[in-house]
Amino acid sequence: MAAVAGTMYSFFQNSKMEGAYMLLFALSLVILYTMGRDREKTMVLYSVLLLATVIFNPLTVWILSLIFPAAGDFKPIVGLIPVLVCVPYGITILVYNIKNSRVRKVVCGLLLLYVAICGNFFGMFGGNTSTARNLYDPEKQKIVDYLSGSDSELVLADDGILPFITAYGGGVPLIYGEDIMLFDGDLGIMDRYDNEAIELHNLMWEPQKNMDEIADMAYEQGCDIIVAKRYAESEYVAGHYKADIATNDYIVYRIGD
Amino acid sequence: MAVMGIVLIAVLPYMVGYIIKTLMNSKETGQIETYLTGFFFIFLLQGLFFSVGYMVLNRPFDMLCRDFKIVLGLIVIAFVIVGTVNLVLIFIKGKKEIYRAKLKNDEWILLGIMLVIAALIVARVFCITDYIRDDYMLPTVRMTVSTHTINEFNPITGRPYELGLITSRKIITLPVYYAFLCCTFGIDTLNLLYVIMTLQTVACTYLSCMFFITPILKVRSRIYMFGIFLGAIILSGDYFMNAIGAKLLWRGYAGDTIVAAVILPYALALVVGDYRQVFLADKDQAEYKKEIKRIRIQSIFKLILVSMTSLFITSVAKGLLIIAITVVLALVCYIVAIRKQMGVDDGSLFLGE
Repeated sequence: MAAVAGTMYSFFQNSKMEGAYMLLFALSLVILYTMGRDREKTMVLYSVLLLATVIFNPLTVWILSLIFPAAGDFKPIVGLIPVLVCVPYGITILVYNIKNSRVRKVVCGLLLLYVAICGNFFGMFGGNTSTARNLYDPEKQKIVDYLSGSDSELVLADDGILPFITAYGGGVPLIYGEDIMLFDGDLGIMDRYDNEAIELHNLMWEPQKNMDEIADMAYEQGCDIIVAKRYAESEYVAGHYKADIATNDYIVYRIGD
Repeated sequence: MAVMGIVLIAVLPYMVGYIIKTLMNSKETGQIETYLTGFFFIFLLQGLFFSVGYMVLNRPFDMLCRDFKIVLGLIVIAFVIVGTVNLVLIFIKGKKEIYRAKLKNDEWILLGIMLVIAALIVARVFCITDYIRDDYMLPTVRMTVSTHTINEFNPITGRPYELGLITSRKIITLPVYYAFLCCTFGIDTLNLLYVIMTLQTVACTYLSCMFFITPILKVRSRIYMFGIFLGAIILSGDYFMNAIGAKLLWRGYAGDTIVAAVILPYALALVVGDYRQVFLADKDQAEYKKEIKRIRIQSIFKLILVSMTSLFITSVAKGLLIIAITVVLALVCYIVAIRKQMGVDDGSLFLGE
């Protein structure tokens, strides 16, 4: 029960809106409730509230996540409707409830400024996201280039480089993908990775201790290449595999002939 | 050729929407809704076509491209035929009177501000094209374009598609569709994804939200005011990844963005619009009831259309979430509507006095 509650809480934490836009959304709901007297306004209010209770409800997401673990990542869908529809609508109602046209213009200007400040001021000074997650890392790229050059060989890769391979590797076949990392091998009640794949994934966290075991298991699964974290004590040979290339952080083993 | 492709991408949704509108004999469908219906239908069509063609019939990419080109050609021909017939009918029946209201001064100002913000959004989309995105879509599309083969591994999971389809429950054919557009019309991948598709999604977001809000706000100046703040939020919203504007300005080509920013407001508009029909009209007229029934069937058809589209362009989980949302909304609306028709409830609980 505690685990379920914990999962639901983490879904809620992941999905809730942040900061100023949350405030804007809450304010627009208050405005719609207090100023929106006629039927259409009330309809919008109830629709948005209903929508919010359906999607914001961690229970809904938790139930969905039993079948589809990826349902936990629903933040963009949650954020867009209330903000894109409710906030401009609430502001419009607020502005047009002001009788004095001068005051209305001032309020309108201030609200526009507030929306701008909440974000990145209309992008005039650049957003801070533009290069925030630029993953073009030369070291990782070197390994991806190496893997892309291989002819459909099955690869076992470390979690750190896995997203990079799946994004830029252009279809390098992997024993397991990013999903094992994100959902801990549990892909819902209808499917999950087999225990060996999950065990292999767990062993890959500490290759300095488990390299021989990893090599044996990988060999049994028909793996051709292993990309593991590199340590000072990393060995040149591991089971049926020999080190082929290495970078500062990674060492690539290829199956011996 | 690229220019022709861009024009076709821009006008194709209207063509498809117009054909659907004519087939459904839906006179109340406006221009905005026509475009949106076509927009969704194209995504649904590509999803069905490429998934069945590749996964069931095992057709190679080049053959799929050839066949889909024929489908697009047929759509254009059908539009020309339907459009010509409608024009001839209008000509025979007499000229339609087009009502053009004159804008007042303040409405001109508000419209002007709204257009300036829209222009700033376009400028931002062009300005941020140089940045590198860490998304799987660009490399996948580029690889498909260069090798003329469909990526057989799910780029997110790295697992073969036969397996990945089951494990991730994704029926994502969008990269194949974009690769088709690039190969057929010679459009640069970067421009297609980050400029053309993004601008189309932003435009459809505007249309979708306006479609939802116009019957509610009614007054033109208020609608423009709504548009100004909608634009301001899109323009300023990329202060962190996955923020509202960021999804639109950075990943307008992504299925998630289309679902969240275009499909959801549209689905909401359909449900609320149907709900409004029941309450704001005279319930005693039999003819009107018949009309309501026809409109409701059309709304349900459109809801099915958008729900299926969301299944094809995003993960099945998110698609199901959209269906859950629309079903819950529709159920509550219909329960209240039925209670009103039975005379049990006057609707004041939901609609106020």
